[in-house]
Amino acid sequence: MAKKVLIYDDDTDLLEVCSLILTARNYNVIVREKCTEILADVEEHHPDVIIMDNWIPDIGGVKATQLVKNSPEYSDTPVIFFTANSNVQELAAEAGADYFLQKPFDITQLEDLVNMAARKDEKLA
Amino acid sequence: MQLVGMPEPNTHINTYEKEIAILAAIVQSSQDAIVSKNLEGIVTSWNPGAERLFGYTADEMIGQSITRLILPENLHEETMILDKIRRGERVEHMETIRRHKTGRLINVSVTVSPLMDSKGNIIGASKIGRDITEQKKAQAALEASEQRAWLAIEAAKLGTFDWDLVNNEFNGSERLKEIFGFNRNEQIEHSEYISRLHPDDRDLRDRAVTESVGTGSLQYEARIILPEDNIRWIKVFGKVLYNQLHEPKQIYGTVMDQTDQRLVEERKNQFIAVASHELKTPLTSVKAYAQLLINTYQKSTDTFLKTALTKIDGQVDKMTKLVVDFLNLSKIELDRLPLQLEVFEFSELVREVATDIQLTKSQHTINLQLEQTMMIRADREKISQVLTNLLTNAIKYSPGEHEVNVRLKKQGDSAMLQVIDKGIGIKSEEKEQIFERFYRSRFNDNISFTGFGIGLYISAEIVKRHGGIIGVNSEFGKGSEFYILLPTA
Repeated sequence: MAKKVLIYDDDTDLLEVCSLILTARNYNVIVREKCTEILADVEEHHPDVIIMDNWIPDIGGVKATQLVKNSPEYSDTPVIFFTANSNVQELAAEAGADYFLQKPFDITQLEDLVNMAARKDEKLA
Repeated sequence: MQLVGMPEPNTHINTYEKEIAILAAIVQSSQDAIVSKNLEGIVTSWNPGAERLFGYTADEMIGQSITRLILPENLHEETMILDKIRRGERVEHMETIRRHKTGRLINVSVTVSPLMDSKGNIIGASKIGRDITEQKKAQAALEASEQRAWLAIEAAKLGTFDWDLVNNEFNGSERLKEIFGFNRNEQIEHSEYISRLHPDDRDLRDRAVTESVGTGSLQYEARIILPEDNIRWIKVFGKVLYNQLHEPKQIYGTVMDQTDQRLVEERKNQFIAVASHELKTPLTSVKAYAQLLINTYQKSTDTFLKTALTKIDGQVDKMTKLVVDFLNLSKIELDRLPLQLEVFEFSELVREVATDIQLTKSQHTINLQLEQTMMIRADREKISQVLTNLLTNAIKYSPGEHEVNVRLKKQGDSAMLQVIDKGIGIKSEEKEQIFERFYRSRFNDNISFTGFGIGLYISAEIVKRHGGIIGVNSEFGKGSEFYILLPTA
């Protein structure tokens, strides 16, 4: 069964192109423009990987990631934190994310990270 | 030979002569000018000190009028002095001006006493003169410097304090009280100032004070909370004074209100962060689409389509680099580019960066000649930025050439890295300017190069902040050798 990737970003074009890229790699992609309902989203879809933007309504990517990482059920879900902010590494660490990706990125970087994160999820399962 | 205890003949006369001899010796050897004159102002004796001070020998002065030394406009002084002497009064430490034999004016302090004969009649005056020219100069310099310090303090609206560490007495200026939100005329205890410091900043302040005892200078920035809960930012700068045992006894200092600057800085930071984010966001989508299309049409026979897509991707990279450079520049302006120091092998980093660049630039071969075991303590990321800048410049400014040479060697306590190209070179008058912000060479009109002209500026700032040196040797039209020297770990 295809692995599920849940992507959060407020830029719809980026959501679309990321979907295209990852769908081409046989992922099942779900996209969201807001992260307010993140716990409900995760509960509904049980994603194998979450990709989270930093500046995203309403609560921001750092808080949203923390919600997932602090929940007993979903804390193992790998999160890739991506942003155009140059302090992406610090933000990802603050959020408790597993990986970070600086925007703009090469699509191979995105593919590699998602593959790596999806495998990590496999091992833990 | 005389026996001990036997009374000496003519003891009285001998003692008198001895005293005269001693006095004469004192007068002879005195650094001060000692002169005597009669009531008409004619010089009757003149010691070597007087010769040194006024330039005239005893032969030249004895029998001459003392007015020779006095400026015409000061002649009334001499009349006044002689009047006092006739009345039997002294003139003490009068500061005036006299003329040296060469015409040079000298500041002197003079003391004049009446001279009497054996019957008590006043027959003249003895005069002791001292050169106070240097003293006057020093005093004037001190006054000027105090004036300047006062002006600076007023102009900068600085609060000042004087903290007596021995008696723990703290005196703040009126302006200091104002900065801390007290009334100008209130008597404020040291503890009251401290209590207005932000609780989170008190440790920092304590540490700065402790450190200052060792370093001699006190420096910290902190927040104070005003009565209406407003926050004010202050910058403190002080100097520690020590006693002879090198124990700290006093701290003098200034306090600057930095609140406005802080606010402007915060707004600027926010603006830069937002602008750079907003500029990079569309680039992210463009790049992803371009690469997706490249992948999709990889096997297409339409070479124009493939080339065009590759160009779009390349241009996005250029644009991204410009945005990142701009953000870095703003950070440098704010002195906010913190160095994350670590110890690492310099040659490895050079190899890494060169390999990365070689991947994208196939026109030039980057030849490496690297000495091993060159550990440096530096910010790996930022030094890598410098290397990237130097290498891409070497390639960019040597179109049509095919190689760039990179050398790394030890030079004393430093690691010396050279990036050598055979490109267009730099005119000697531009060698300093190319490290300036926004500087673009004026001498390559026929070739066009893109960029803001801030790459070398940022590189130079980074190298300088590592305590290193950056420079260039070049011959116009033949090539350039950029070098950096970084202290080894």
